[in-house]
Amino acid sequence: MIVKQKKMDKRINYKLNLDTIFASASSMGLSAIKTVRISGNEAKKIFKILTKKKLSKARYSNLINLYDIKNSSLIDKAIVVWFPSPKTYTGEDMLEINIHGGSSVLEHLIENLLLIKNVREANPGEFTKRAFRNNKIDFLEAEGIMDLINAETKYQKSLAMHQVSGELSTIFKKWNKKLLKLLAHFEGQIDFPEDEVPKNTHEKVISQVSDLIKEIEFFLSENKRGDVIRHGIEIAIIGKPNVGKSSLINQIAKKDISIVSKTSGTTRDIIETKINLSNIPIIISDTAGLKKRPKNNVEKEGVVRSKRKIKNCNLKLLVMDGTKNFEKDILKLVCNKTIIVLNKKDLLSDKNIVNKIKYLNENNLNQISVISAKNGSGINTLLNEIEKYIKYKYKNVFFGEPSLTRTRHRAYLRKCFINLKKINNNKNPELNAEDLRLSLNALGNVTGEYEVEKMLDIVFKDFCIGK
Amino acid sequence: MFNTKKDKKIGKSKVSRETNYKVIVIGGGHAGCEAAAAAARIGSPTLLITNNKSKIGEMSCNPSIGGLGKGHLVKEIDSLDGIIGKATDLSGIQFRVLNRSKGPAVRGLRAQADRNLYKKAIKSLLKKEKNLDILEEEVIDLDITNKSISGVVLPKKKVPCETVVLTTGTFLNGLIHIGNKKIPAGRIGEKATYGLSKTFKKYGFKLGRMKTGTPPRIAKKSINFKKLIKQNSDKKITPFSFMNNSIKVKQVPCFITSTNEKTHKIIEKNIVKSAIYSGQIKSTGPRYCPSIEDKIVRFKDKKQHHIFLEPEGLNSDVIYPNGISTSLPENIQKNFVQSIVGLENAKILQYGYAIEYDYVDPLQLSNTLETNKIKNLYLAGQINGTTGYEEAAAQGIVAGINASLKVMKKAEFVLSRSEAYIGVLIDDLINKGVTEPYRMFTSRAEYRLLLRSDNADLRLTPKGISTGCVKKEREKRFKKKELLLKKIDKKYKKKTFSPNKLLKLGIKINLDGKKRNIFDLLVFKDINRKKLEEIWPEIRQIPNDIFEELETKSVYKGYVDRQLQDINDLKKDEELKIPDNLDYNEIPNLATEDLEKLNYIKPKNLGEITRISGVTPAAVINILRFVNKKTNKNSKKKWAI
Repeated sequence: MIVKQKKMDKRINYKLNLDTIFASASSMGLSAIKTVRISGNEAKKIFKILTKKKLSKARYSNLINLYDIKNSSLIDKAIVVWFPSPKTYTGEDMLEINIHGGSSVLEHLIENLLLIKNVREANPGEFTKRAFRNNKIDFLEAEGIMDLINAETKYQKSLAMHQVSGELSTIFKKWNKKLLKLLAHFEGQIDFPEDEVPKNTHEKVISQVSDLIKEIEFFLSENKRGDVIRHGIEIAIIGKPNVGKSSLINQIAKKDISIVSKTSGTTRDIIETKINLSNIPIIISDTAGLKKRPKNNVEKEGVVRSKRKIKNCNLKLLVMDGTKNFEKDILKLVCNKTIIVLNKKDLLSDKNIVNKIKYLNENNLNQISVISAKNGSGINTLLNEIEKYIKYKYKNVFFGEPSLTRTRHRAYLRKCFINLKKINNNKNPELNAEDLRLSLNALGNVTGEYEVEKMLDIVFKDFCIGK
Repeated sequence: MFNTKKDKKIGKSKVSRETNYKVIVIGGGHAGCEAAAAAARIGSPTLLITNNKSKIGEMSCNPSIGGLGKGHLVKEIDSLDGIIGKATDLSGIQFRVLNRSKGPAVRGLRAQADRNLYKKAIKSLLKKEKNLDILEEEVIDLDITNKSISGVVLPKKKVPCETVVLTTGTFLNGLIHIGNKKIPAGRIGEKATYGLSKTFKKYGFKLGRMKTGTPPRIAKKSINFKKLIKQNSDKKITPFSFMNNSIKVKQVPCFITSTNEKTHKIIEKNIVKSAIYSGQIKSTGPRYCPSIEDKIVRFKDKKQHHIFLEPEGLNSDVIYPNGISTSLPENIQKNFVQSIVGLENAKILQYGYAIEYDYVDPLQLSNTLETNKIKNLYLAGQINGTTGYEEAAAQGIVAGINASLKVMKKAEFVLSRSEAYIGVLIDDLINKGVTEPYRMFTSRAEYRLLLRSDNADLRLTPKGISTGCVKKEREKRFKKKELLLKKIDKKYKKKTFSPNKLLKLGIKINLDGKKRNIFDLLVFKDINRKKLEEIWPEIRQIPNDIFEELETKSVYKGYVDRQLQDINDLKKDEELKIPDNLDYNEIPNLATEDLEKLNYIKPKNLGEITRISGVTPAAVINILRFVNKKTNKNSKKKWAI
């Protein structure tokens, strides 16, 4: 009979792949080496993508470079071992990656793994469960196997514990609540067509979804913590030629802050200075002056690079010559991450300064610092302003939850976001509901599993059901 | 509504002697009838015992069958050759597809049924089962030896059998409330059952109490229909049963009216007199089926609530006003009913009431619906904390099939969450339990896009055939359809066209270079069958059901592929079976909390364990390890099947 049932099941194609799973086998704390284990069909692919090399010999340790999928930067020099199926712990293809202990390296690696399709973090005990399924039960008789499982669970538990506290979790829980409500309204109009569910529910939900998409998109673009931690906060000094940009960067560099490196190119290229401001790594770039009409190709290229830098930086310092009148097109460059730096304080009278600030304030420009790049006055105040801004804006980055938790949060949020984006008015409501459910499931990895009963609670609370 | 003794004899005894019955089904409601028919189809001599033969197939609540989720259940039961779909086709007086404007996965067929025609249809379908006898008698108790069924106890004798399916509905300790009046009863005018409640308690079953209600019934002649909105049957009717092509019963309309401020005022003023609000009823009622009192208290800003006036039959003078179930005193029921447009002169034939009854906590059941505490006893229907004819019938068919398979010493019949709504229903009941009467919604099925009404036969009939619950006639018809579907699918799958080629044929789509077959094109909103027929006239020959099947498959493809991947994962967990006789107390290192839960719920496979809330992964691995060791010792075989 059971045999018959099994035969039956072949009617549906169950041969589809299972997700490939990974988990960090080491504890969360500091350790010199951290191990990430990967199991599943994609293991082979992961090796190739991350190392940009052919698959190595089975069960041999290789010292090999791992590269970022998006920008090819180096993640770490790691020891990677390839274990082909079936002679592995789970019975599936497995990969073991040993990386250096810093949390940002592990974070970087996990961020990359989660970018690969059908790859996800393992649930507690999932490696062992797969071993069971594939009759790899001999392993289970081995000494110490329970320790391993307990460790696996403990690791997941400590992750989970971090997930329920902290500011970031509050935001995620808020989104989860919102999504659940939206799904409930969707399901309400699907399951109760004859009840008193308002006719325009579908449209209403869709417009609320698009609001939520914007909110999440903003969050994702604002909180690129991984980049910030790895590269530091990027500050771009911008402005017209000859307003004192280079002098400013020299003044900052002169201060009692450690200069890490200095790259110089032509005057038309970008000069970067790395500094540490109260232990926050910062990269200050001096960009080429923004000219309306670049004279030659070299200048043109300089302007293009400057613009790119301006777009990607975390903070802009817009330097202006205080002795000259403001130009409207330059003021247009001001956004919410800009500090206006009024230079040449030494040449201005106090009254002059007050008038200038008044004018800017009237135009709703309020983040202003007045300095003299020539004699250095006002530089300390400017640095304080910068520090204050960064600490406010990136407080979660430097003072928030453990970095690994944040990486997971971001990865699942991105999954949630991708599914939400699929929702639109031209699709059947049940497909939109499915997208919504998938995005809730993604977020559920952080906020706790989606439960039908909780959704139904909302349906019956918000609508009068009961024909 | 009362016993009519005339109706007593349904047919002569088909099974030679009473002592030969193997399966006994107690209760002649929707669960009982389906269970009895299924047990008999599988091949065991079966006896259905009911208090009252004239109540076989009675619809004690509203006269309608199907709807969202519920319609899916009916189609699935029909795919296993059950009787609820066929009976509805023989008695439906208004057929409508709900959600027609939405996608095929969430469309639900619903029919108003003529109560008498329905009962007649059920009786004649039962009569056709050659292994089934019906007996009118009161069952006093179960005959239990060594925690296993050995028969049932009647007033004058014991009838031995091997398995029992118990389907007593709301009859266990049933108590009716109208205002402050309390009447012990199972249905209005029918005696409740007490002995069995005691037996359950004796064997340590955990019982709970639930509440449900009905509206007053109104005389058709006393209603002014001219003032009301008419709701007709669909023009083109699809039957429930895959065995039927059309409906022969005459179709009649329903009417819609609504409550108004005056109605609300009357109810508000008298709210404390309602059995629910006076504190007389303490048990939980369903949130999706609130009484009119609940609606008015909970949704204060709503000025009106719809009422659907449903005919109880072609020749019946009774109208069922759906939407105003109540337990207010009789005079107030009359007052508020007569405040409603069209019902100004309404004559009430039977007052609405609330009923409280015992249910058995379904966590104590296994996935075949056999109880954990008494062997060979199966429970189905409202006794398990569900509500609805369809939910009852769905459990009935599973319990009946398994009770019969057990007698024949054949392997169990279990449907997974990924295979059927029936699977979702039973899995939810036995692993999550109930807090209110359980009703099916499509949103309960995580694989909703796969579990559709239209493919119920493709999903379940083959399994029904191999289990033995599908008769030859259906088998033949199904195989024909399946073959044709495969043929057409194969033929058109390969016929693909590039966007450029399609442009030449007059179909404009994105020039993405992707080759598509005819059914892939139906994903686009502005392309339909008619348009395709203009270009390829030959597809006119494809039968409707087959065309729709292929269309749906193609529209849902991306999503279904993802769901299949999840199902694969689920299936693998379900294949890891836990032996029946496993004593969890023997497993080392299990937390007390886990131990209690596992001993109470007794999961049958790894999938079920993981769906029990709060059981830790370490506990799961511990169990697997233990089972593995034990099985190795006993059979030298690796434990996974």
